[in-house]
Amino acid sequence: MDCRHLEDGYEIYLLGALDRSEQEELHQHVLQGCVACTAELREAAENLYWFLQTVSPVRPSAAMKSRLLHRLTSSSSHAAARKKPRVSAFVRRAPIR
Amino acid sequence: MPHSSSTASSSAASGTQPEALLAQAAAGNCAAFAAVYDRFAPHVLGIIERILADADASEQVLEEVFLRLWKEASKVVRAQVSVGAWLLLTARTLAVDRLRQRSSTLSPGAESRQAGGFHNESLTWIPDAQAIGRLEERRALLRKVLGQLPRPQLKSLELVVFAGRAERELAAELGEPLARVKTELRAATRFLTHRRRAVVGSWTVDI
Repeated sequence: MDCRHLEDGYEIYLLGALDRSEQEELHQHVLQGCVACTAELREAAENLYWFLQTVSPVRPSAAMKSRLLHRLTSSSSHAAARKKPRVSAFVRRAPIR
Repeated sequence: MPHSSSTASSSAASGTQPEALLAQAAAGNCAAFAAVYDRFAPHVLGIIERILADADASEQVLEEVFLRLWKEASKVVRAQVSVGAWLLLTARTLAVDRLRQRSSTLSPGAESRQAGGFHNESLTWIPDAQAIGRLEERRALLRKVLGQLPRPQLKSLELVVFAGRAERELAAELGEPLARVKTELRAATRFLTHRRRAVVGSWTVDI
């Protein structure tokens, strides 16, 4: 694939605004590891960051943070419970001396 | 992903780089993750609300963005990308996804498509913290420069970024030929690239 015809379409690609076929063509091309296009995409992402960070911030509710942290800690506890063997099971398997 | 929470530590203080905080979060430190949230949540929510114009739905997407960051923390740390860039770009993508779901519910049969390249597993094109740091240092000047973007180009770019329009949809909405819309959008992105390079490359550039 010749990268030159992509010209300035990198931001448009990152925004998902190209036609489906163009979107897929660039996607496959980058997946193949094109260094030049990856560098262009990184610059395009800088442009989009710049554009996005001009939006005025909005303070979330306090309840939002509590809810999020609760979900994190509860999902962490569940994950830990799945990963760690229960003590009782370990004790049962320990040899008796 | 992390499987234990930790108590707040001095390292979660506001002066610590978000990338360092995320590395601690990836090791299970919830306090460090909360510090990342405190730093970025207002900006992330601002973008989501601009797209969705619905406070309740926006908080749901905000939660989705940070849950995803929590789940992918190790991957983001390994990729050495800017946490702020990851958050803002992911927020835009997920909010536009939500917007399109809402539109397709209202008009069944509407074509579904992804909101951008950020759905891809690869993080290689997300800028690193140094690149974003240079933009942040010149935030005020960059904001001023954006005001120089010709009005029709700014409007087109806003419709793509915040209303999730594809080029073809934009052409239909504006009643203009697709080729003209493509040209205008590329002129806008070229403007951004040239001005950003100029501003970041020199303090004394005559803008």
